[in-house]
Amino acid sequence: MIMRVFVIALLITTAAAIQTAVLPMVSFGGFRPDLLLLVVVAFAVQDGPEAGVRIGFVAGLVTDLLLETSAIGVAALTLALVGYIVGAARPYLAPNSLTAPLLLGLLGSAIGSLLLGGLSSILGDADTSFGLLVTAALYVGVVNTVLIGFVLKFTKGLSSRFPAEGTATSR
Amino acid sequence: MNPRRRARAVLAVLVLASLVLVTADFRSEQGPLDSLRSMATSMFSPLQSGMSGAARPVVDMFSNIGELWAIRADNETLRGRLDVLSDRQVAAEALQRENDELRALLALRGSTDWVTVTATTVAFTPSNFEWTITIDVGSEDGVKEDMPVVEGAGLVGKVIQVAPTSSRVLLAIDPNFSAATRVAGTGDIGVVTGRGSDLMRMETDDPSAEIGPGTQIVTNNYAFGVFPAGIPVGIVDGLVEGPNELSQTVLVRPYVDFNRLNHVLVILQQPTAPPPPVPDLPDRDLDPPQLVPDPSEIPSTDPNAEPGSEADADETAGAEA
Repeated sequence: MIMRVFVIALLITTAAAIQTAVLPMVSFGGFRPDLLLLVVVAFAVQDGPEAGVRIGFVAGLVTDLLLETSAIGVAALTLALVGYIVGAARPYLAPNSLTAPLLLGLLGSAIGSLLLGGLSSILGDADTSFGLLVTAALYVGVVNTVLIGFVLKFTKGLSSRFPAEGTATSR
Repeated sequence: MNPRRRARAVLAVLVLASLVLVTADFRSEQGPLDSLRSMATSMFSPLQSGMSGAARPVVDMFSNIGELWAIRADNETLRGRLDVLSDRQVAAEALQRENDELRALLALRGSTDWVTVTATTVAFTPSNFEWTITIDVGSEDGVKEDMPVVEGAGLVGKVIQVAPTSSRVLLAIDPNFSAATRVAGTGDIGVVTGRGSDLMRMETDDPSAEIGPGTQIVTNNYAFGVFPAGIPVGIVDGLVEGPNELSQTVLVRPYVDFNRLNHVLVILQQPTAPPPPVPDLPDRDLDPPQLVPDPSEIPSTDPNAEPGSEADADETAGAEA
């Protein structure tokens, strides 16, 4: 269990570093994929809602700490909610479907991006138009859908080696 | 506990924790959360710096590859433009040359009372032993045999064959060509003959005439002669032989560049009335003298002249040759 926590912490740290150091170089049209959101969605798809909520909260907290303008806790709240929603939706999809993870990746990433932008805007930390919110949500949703296959492969290996307590390790 | 219920409980706790964090962050200006944020930033910055340094060359490489296509496209576009501009430059130079030639002809036509027709060279002789050109005017334009042909620089030759829409011109450098000439400064007379690729030769009748290099030679006009007087022929380049008791022979470098004959004038009719007197130009002036007939030699090669007159003209031309 401790090893799992350590590996997930390392994964989140690496994802945060890539998100802030590398992805800005490859942004497309001013938008870039949300790697931390992708990790949360992948773990939620793989391990269920509880793992999604826990990992979402931690990843969100790291996001909050690395942001300057947003209030600490907004991203933690958002990613925890996304982790729960995606994990709770998982049993309603076919277990061995290839498109189910893609659909969850698309919807989870789009909803997460929309929620984060919307909450930041409502709380007054970011002046974001609705058009920009939707565009960013669509972009993050589509790019994360493309990338979720690679991340899922990694989380699947991790979960089979270090299974989460009280959750199904594979579908 | 039921996993779903447990998940909800965890969610509720963490949502509550998030809201507490948000509230705490809103309430405190420089509280512990800001310190935590600063600490996270300083902890992450070495990692971010390392990753950024490692990723930048790769990202730059892909970026450069992307730019390479754009640069190639730009290169092709610019090369295409360069080709177009080169073609235009060549065309502009050709037009400029043609313009200069036509302006020279226009000035020549305006400076004399000759009735002329402008012609374009359509062919040069294919032989290495005959120096003729074919021009695009013929009998339909009023061209007849033995009519003089000139261009801006001076004497070109005379028409030797006429077709309805084209004519052949014997160039002044052809060995079969000869013309009565005189020294522009002194008035010493002689006959110029062509020598092909070599310089033309002028044989003077007066062995004591002083003809040095640079002396200008112009056409002379006997009664019923072929050429009007005063057409520049060339400048003396040197002495060939003599002087002896009868004559002396000098080399004459023609003014006309016979390798670049594009536009010429065929003199259809020379003025019947004598032009106003104009003094000859001094010797050693390298520019061609103005084309004005000598007043003492009234031109008379009128294409509409009586048949008897033409016969006399032929005899005179024969005598010149």
